[in-house]
Amino acid sequence: MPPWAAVVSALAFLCLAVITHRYWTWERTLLAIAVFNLVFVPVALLAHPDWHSVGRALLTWKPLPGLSKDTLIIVLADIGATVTPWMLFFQQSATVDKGLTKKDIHLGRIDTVVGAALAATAAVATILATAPLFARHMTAENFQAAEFAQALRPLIGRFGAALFALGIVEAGMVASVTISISSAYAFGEVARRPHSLNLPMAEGRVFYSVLFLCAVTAGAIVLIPGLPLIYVVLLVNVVAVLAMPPALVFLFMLANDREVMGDLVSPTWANILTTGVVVFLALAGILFGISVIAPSIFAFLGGK
Amino acid sequence: MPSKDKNHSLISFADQELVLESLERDQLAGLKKPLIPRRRLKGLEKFVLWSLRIYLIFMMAVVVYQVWIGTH
Repeated sequence: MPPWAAVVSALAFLCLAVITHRYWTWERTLLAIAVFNLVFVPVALLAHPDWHSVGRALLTWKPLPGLSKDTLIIVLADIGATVTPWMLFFQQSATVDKGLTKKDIHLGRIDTVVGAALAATAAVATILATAPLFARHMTAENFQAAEFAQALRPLIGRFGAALFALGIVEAGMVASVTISISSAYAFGEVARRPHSLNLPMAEGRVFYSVLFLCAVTAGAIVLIPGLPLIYVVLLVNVVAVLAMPPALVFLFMLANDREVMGDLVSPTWANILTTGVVVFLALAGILFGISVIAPSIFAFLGGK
Repeated sequence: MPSKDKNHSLISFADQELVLESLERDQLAGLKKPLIPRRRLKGLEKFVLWSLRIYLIFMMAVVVYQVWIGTH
């Protein structure tokens, strides 16, 4: 399949998801696709991992690579792919679109925990599925996105490779749809224009225009010939993690504003955790900055 | 007219609830307008937010520099 066909398919899926102008339909469509995220689990099983080593690695966090600029970029990109500023905009606007109220908070928390557990399971499965490549010294430097599935074919078979490719397509599709909608929500917030997936096209013209503009721009970037897509993905996620501390501090202030939150202000333990996350992310960002503009200081701090 | 009134009285409480429930999402979406006035920030809050703005701009410059290094 040529790359443009994949981009057109993703755009068609986006249209299908929002065409009813109902958040409910959009959410169900996306969840139906997101289930395919779990295809990485059978792929991981096909890779026949050494479960003893897997257990040891999960418990001890070893082996860890040394501190280098490349490692730092990978770690930051991993964090940036997991906790991102756009999620804040998405989460709060989606909560309103879904019509959730105070009585739904408990179910919302269960939703979050189940979602996080499933996402972590899929992430671990993806790492296990690609482990045979790394064991043979084949890394992201050798492949671009979908080529991973082709490279895995001799190791896990045609079925496993096809499942892996399906998982990659699903992940990309869900991300592109969610992030473009999140951008449209954020634009609506900032520009004070109507922004909801429940709006008919006539009333939400700006919202839907931003949504499709973001998706089309992303699709056009992907189609640029010779663009190192893996590097772009890493860099985008690094930018996301660098933008996280200001967004988190803003959220922190909002969650502690009694006028806005009433009796639902953030508890002390959550504030301590948030402060820890903000400090960690800011320090990681500063370390990345040092590694780029002052490699000698980075080396002095133990970096390679 | 009398027949209309009769029909109107046939709408049960459960039906009314159903209609309100189905309209609720749109109503909530319509309510997504700023109802709370802009907050006046204190000194420390202003300092933290401005520090983070400067941090963000500086870090974006670092990322651009990293891309420049990568492409050269």
